[in-house]
Amino acid sequence: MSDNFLEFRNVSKSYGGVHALEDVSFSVPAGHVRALLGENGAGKSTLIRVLAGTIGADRGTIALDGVERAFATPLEALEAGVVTIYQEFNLVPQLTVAENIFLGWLPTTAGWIDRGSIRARASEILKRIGATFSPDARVGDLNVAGQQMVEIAKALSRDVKVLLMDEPTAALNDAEIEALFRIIRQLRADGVSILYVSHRMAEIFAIADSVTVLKDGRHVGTEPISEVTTESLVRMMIGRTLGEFYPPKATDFGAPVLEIGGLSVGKALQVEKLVLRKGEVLGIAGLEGQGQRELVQAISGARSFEADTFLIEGAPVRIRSIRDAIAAGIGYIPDDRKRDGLALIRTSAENLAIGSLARRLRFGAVVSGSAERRFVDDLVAALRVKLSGPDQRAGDLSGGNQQKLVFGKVLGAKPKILVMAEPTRGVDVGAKREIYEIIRELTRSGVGVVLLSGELPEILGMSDRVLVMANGRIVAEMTDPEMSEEAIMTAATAEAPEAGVMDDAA
Amino acid sequence: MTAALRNIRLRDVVGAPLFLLVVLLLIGVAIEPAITGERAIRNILTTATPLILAGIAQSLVILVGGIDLSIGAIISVANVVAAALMTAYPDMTVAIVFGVLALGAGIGLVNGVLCAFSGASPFIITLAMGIALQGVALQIMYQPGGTVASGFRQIARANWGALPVTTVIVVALALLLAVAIRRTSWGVSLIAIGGNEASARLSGISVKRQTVLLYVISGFLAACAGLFLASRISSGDPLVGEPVTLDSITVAVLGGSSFLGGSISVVGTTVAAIVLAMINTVLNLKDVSPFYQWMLKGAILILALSLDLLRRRKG
Amino acid sequence: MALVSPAASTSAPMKMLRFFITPSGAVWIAIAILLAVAALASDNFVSGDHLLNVARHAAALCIATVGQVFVIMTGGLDLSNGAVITLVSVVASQLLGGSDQYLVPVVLLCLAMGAAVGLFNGLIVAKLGIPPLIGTLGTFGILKGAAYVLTGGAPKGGIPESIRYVGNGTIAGFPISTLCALAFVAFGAFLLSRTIFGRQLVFLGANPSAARLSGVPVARIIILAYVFSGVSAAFAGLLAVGYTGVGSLSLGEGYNLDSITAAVIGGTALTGGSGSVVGGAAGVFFLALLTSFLRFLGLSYSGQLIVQGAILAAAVILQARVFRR
Repeated sequence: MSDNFLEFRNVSKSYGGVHALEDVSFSVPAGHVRALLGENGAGKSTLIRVLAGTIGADRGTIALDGVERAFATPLEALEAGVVTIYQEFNLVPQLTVAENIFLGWLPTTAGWIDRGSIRARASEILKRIGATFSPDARVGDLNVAGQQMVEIAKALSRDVKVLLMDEPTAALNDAEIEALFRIIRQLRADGVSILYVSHRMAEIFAIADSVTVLKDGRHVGTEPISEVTTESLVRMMIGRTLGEFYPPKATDFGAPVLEIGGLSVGKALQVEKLVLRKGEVLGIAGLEGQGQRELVQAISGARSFEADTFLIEGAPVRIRSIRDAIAAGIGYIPDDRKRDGLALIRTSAENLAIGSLARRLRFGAVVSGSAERRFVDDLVAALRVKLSGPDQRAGDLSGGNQQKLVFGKVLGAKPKILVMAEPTRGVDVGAKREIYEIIRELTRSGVGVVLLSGELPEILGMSDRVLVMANGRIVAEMTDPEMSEEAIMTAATAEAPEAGVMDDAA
Repeated sequence: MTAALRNIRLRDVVGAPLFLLVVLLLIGVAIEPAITGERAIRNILTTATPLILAGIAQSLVILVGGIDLSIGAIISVANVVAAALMTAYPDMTVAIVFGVLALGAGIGLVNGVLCAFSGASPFIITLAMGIALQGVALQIMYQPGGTVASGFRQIARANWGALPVTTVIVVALALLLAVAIRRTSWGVSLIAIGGNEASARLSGISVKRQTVLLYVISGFLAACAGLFLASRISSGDPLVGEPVTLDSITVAVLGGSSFLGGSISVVGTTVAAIVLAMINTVLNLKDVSPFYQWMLKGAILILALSLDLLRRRKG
Repeated sequence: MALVSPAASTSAPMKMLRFFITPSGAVWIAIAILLAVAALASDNFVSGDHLLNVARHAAALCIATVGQVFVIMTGGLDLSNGAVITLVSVVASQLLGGSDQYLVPVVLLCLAMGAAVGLFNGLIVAKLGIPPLIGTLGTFGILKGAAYVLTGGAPKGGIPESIRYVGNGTIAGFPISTLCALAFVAFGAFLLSRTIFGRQLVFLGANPSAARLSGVPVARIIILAYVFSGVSAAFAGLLAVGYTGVGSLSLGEGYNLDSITAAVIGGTALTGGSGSVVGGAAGVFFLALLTSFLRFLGLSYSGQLIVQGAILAAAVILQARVFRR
């Protein structure tokens, strides 16, 4: 057994000029659980993908037991004993549990599956991880926790040398988490190197031997678990001086532009009261998947919800669809601009114009070409979108300029409230700053902004007020003097899912 | 064993739109009780045979998220090629049969390679192939004609009691295929491709190779259907396969295939083909024009699809 | 602020040249090549008279193709338009009985039938989520049967002189049907680029999810696209029956595949969100020219089918591999 069984050597990867990983080097011994920590966008998922063979690194290598390996395909990684459990499931709902576990290398006799053998082997693995369902159950009939167990069983069925786990407990309850930890400890005893990605501090302290922190694609440090505390880890994760990066905040706000009472989305979101004032940036923070997404989607009409009161500028409105929300003056900037924001094969001008076509009509029905040209030129100039011309395809622009198009599209409808999710994801530093300035210009003109971001510096640098969410509820509200990374993290993790709570959610 | 039995659900055996099939069957019997007679049953099963072959071919392709709109034209081409060659070389029936089967598989290979590697949609690729092959069939034989060897005619005429021999063989092979899909690693990989392509690929299943293989099988089965029709009508007809394309989709969907991918029921498709043949027979016995049959089949297809989608949305 | 990079200052001739290597521009090159080959093969093929005749022949298909382009732009397909053409031809023939007495109400009824078929198609596609190819294939079967039911197998009645004049007559040497088709192409192009409906349609074809989040009423627009295709087909049916002069149960045969082929050749992507009505019209002209030339060369109907299938496959593969990078 070697002290650096799994080694990353100067691994770098960038997407369109944005560094996802920069010169990352660290190693994991055999028989060791390493927690991998970092904010969203710190490079964790890129690192996992490089190791699992789904993407190639630009530079640098990975060594297994001293031998340099480059996995061109996920299958090569699997065959070398590098097994990944992803956040999103890779299961076939139409097949049974046993078939899923052994998919791709089903034992056969003359082509016929040895059903007895896969059932027995699957049963054994399922028993080991404490799963109670039958190996003959159809995966599509299992709940999310059950499917997660199948993913784990699938990984364990291989001759695993390195196990990558990306938030494996997201869907598990306490007993299941305990069972999972038992398996992890057992694998560790068997000499497996384990990379464990999680946001939950309690889990990390419970299971990890050491921890590696990534930030902005760089390796910040690797420490034994006994040498760190929650506070020191948080500092390693965020530890940047906010400096002059963010434009100055607002000093006074107008009347409330949005007041919501008794808001709920099933069991995923329960918010008693939410008020947004004119000219205010309201940050929404918390660990991943605590109801933030549901909150912004509900406000923007993208998801159906219940609310006792929903007032815009003091007047009650009914929002049942995106169109209702837009008509009521709410603009929405979704987090995945390629999927939900832009038509990449259409021109920049068409993308900018789509959100407000009805504002530029002649004879009540015809889209005015000249008005549209003026509208597009004005927006391009105001947002400083770098284009070869209005006819350039949106898909040919950089991430930052694409994001500006999404802003322009929404601003064309003159919203009073702007709801944004991860507005600077996948955007380079220069464009980031420009987007922050655009947001501040908007608030100066009286627009109220709801900002959901997984990047704490962004929340701290931009928000006039922060709501921290956990378990679908608002657990803390902070304004400037008391607002800090530690305070937010503490509030978010203090209320992190405990025993039993996840049962309700699942 | 009981666990295994419990795990085989009705849906897997006959396909969910079973309900619609039973209704259609009952209506058929009510309208024309004569179809329960031995001759009528034999006639229905003979009519159903090419449709079973085409329906299974279609459901295999649909299973992995594809479609084959050239099935009918392949049937026609196989049919006229067989009839034309058998007319010219009456002594070489066996060689011709193998040649035609190879031709069908070859056309399927072209379909499969184009669908898997060109990046264009299988809808249009096989549509274009269908148009071109219809041209080929008409080029070979513009009018129905030709004649086949008398021994070859027996393929569609030999019976075991009320049951046509070929139909029995085809149904037996269908049952074998139904089991193979659930019980071989090949079948399981097909379901995996249709159910979650990313997962199949991550597991090392060669999606493209399997896709090509399924189109080859589809072409081969279509050629079988074309040969069977040549035997049945004792001659060639360049338009004989034309209605089969739509019918093959109808029976696949009625049988339990879903355009969402990952679902197949070979048994259900077989039953659906027989029910559709029964409807045709009833309509023929009642002397109803083929145009009504178009109308009825169009309505059944939309109804079956709607039921399938509604059921899946709720479930 | 250098908002405009050098690429935008490209000269106008360069822009023109670049158009011909786009999906909807390449069809013009194909037409030019075909004309050149035909001119070499024969002295009188590429004459004004013959080309006008080809254009007259293609008018009905051109109108149906405009509707088809709309539907394909949403990411769908309409296989029922040929059956609408057949249905309209027999309904007009039977109801009018060769007289102009009820001309206006019958023409309106025909257009309304097209709209109703389109509405049905749109509802099953947009609301039930049935794959358009299969759903409209089902509609095709139903309509084919309906046309038979209405006529009892042999269409009766007749087409009055007025409709035949539109289908067959000329104004100053120009076929009226061709003028109708050109006007309809212009109307379609205008709808697509200059109205909210058209702009939303194009956008949702390119990205339905982004369209929904931008406030586009996705289902409504898709339904309207099928309605438009149905009305186009009805209009095409009136022109076609005016050209032939008799209602026929086989009149619309092949229109569905031909209109799809023309749209694809004209650069409309089957994945939706990109294409051109004018390109589709050029695709129709190309197909008509090709058919006429192949016939001139003595190629039979079956040979034409083979060539058409090959061209459709080539066009769609070219789109997938060359233009969609």
